[in-house]
Amino acid sequence: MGEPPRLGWQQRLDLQTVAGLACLVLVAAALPGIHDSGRDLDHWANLTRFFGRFFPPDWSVLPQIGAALVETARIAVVATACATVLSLPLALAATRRISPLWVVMPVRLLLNVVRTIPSLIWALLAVAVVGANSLAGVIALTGYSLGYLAKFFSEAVDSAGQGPITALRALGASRLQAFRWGLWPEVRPLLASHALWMLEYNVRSAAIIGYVGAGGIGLHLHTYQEYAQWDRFCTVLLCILAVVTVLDVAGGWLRRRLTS
Amino acid sequence: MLTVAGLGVQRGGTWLLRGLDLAVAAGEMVAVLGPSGCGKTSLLRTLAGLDQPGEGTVAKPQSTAFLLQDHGLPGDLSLFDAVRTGCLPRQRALRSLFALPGASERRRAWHELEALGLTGCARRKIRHVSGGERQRAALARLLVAGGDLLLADEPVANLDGAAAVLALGRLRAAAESGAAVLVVLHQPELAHRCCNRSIDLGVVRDG
Repeated sequence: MGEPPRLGWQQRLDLQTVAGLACLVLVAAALPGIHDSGRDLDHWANLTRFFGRFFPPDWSVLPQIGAALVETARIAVVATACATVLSLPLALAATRRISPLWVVMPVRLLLNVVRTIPSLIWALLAVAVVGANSLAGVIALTGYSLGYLAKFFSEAVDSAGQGPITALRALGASRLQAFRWGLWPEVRPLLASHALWMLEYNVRSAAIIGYVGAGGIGLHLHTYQEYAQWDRFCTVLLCILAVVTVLDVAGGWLRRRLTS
Repeated sequence: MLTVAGLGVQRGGTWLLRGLDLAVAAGEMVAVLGPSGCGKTSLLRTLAGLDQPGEGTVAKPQSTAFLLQDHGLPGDLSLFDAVRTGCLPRQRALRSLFALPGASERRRAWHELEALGLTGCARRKIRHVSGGERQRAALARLLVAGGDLLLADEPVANLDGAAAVLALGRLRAAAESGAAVLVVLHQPELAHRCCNRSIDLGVVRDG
């Protein structure tokens, strides 16, 4: 039996190894640029003193927080629903399997621009247009979610197998029929899973955009922070944590069922 | 029904077949045999119009249905709905966006499921049925689609002896109803038992 050939160091360098080394070099080059305040501070003492004001939480504000959490959830649900519906045609326009190149390129560029804008900036823009209310929150999160959902959806369409479409075309079905009954059943569970993930993400985002007046529980966070009422601030954070945890567990279970 | 003259089939610049003459009449079921890589699948794909012939001519009826080797059944549809999609060529494209065809087509699809012994798993999703059940469902869908020319690429590869004979019997029934049927098989004994005649592409190529 012959011996397997030994690989030289050049042949062992695959793309993953080179990428990993490049990341290490990047981090090493970036670290010297990170600066603190320059003052001689006891960071640990500052941290413990700051967080000491959080506990115990002030539970007396629970009724107001409960109402605000409901508003936050409503903002997230409506925004996710709007973004899901609006992102579907954009997703189809952004995939080469459905659309020609002259449509795909500008749509993808548009989606890149939309994704570049952080949710807080979307919220600022929305508040400037419609005022400080929950509608601003819906507009902000719809705009923010649109870019991501359209990208996820178009990638789901791109990665779906060609087999079901070819098989239906081979039976005499039209392109539209092959898309509806060959491709759509394959991508539908993925789309639902992505939309559910976006809902969880939007609940977290909706909790923050209230900082700039776009409705929801973020307004309470801002108020308590302004008046240094850290025990009430902590109560809000714990409530958000509880909601997000429940959504995370339930959403994960549902996503596994959808895609199993 | 199907007339092929001087057909040449290429793949990747290599000729798999050249100068093939073939005729399949209505009511006939012809088996295509041959070793792996001799061009059986490429021949059927060319006859179905999925690939262009390298040379020669193909005259075939307009209503042609082709069962691919890898079935292509969508995993998230129920087996019954997947079979019902065979009716789509007869339905208006816009209407089929919303629903599969109605009562008479449902009965037709159910009849094929009964004939192939699939009613017990009709409500299960395709991804949850066995390979053999999937293969029979794909054949049922071809029969539901129907047509004057039926092409089937290895429709019984995953089936045991009895199930394979049953499945080929359904194709034979379609031929006896007036269709021309061309089926790729690996088992010469099945071809001899279920088909009117067979052609061996290995012999054609070497001859």
